[in-house]
Amino acid sequence: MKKTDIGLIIMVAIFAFALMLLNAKQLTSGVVQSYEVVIRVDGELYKTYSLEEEAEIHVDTEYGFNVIFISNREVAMTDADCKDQICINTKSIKRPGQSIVCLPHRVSVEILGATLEESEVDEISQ
Amino acid sequence: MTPRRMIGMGILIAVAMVLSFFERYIPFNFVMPGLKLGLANVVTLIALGFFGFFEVLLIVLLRVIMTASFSGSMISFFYSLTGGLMSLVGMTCVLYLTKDFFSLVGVSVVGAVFHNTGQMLVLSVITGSFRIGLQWYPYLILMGLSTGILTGLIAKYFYEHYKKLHLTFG
Repeated sequence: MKKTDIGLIIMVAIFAFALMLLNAKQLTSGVVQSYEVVIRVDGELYKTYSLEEEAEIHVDTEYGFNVIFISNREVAMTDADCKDQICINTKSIKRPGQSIVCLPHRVSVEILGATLEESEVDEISQ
Repeated sequence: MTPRRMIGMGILIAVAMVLSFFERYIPFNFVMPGLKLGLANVVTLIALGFFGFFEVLLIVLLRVIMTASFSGSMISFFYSLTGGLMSLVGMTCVLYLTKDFFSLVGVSVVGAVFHNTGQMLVLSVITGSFRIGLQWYPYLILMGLSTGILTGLIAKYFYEHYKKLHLTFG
């Protein structure tokens, strides 16, 4: 292992931690506004809800079946027939920027803030 | 393409497939489905020492396709494909552009980071949001960093022992 290797490793580690800090900063925008819960299937918008709503959402696609609960300004995935069940084991989310993903079913649930609606630029449209 | 070369490539493909299979039993799946260590990239790295870019490209493609046909979903296929290809591109660039700047470990780390970037891109496309991809990216990188160091060391020891054998792949 040469010195340059170690330099590279350190740089990559710093990059990763910097990214983590950036992500954490994005999450703590603590002003109470009306947030949106955005559900996407296969990258495309499926439905949006307000975080203030109480809703039980069934997502039934060719990829599988998922149930998402919005209650008490928290969002959680409560049922899915995927093999790994990672989505169900993910804790409920309540702040903008957080997300729950069911990859085998290509379902993603995200909380977006009113200020993050410039996210039109971030999204990939089919 | 001599028979000797073909056999050499076949062996490397087989080794990569075996590594891919065993990887699935290492439980990293609690973080993200389809997330793997990327151990098979050690074969890509070693292959680059014996074969040219296009032959290694063939090795990677065949390895990904065959592994995916035997076990795995569409999603893991996309992860393997982007990860393997990006890793190959990254490692080739480093090997040919910066000759002796890094040892094999450094090259392997570059490969791993490219591999993880590929995974991040696939995740972003499937969820339709770069934000989600970027949230996972740092954890992917850190995991890839350790795997990259590991595979780099494996490749390094492989070459050291291989030199003593005085054989060639072709």
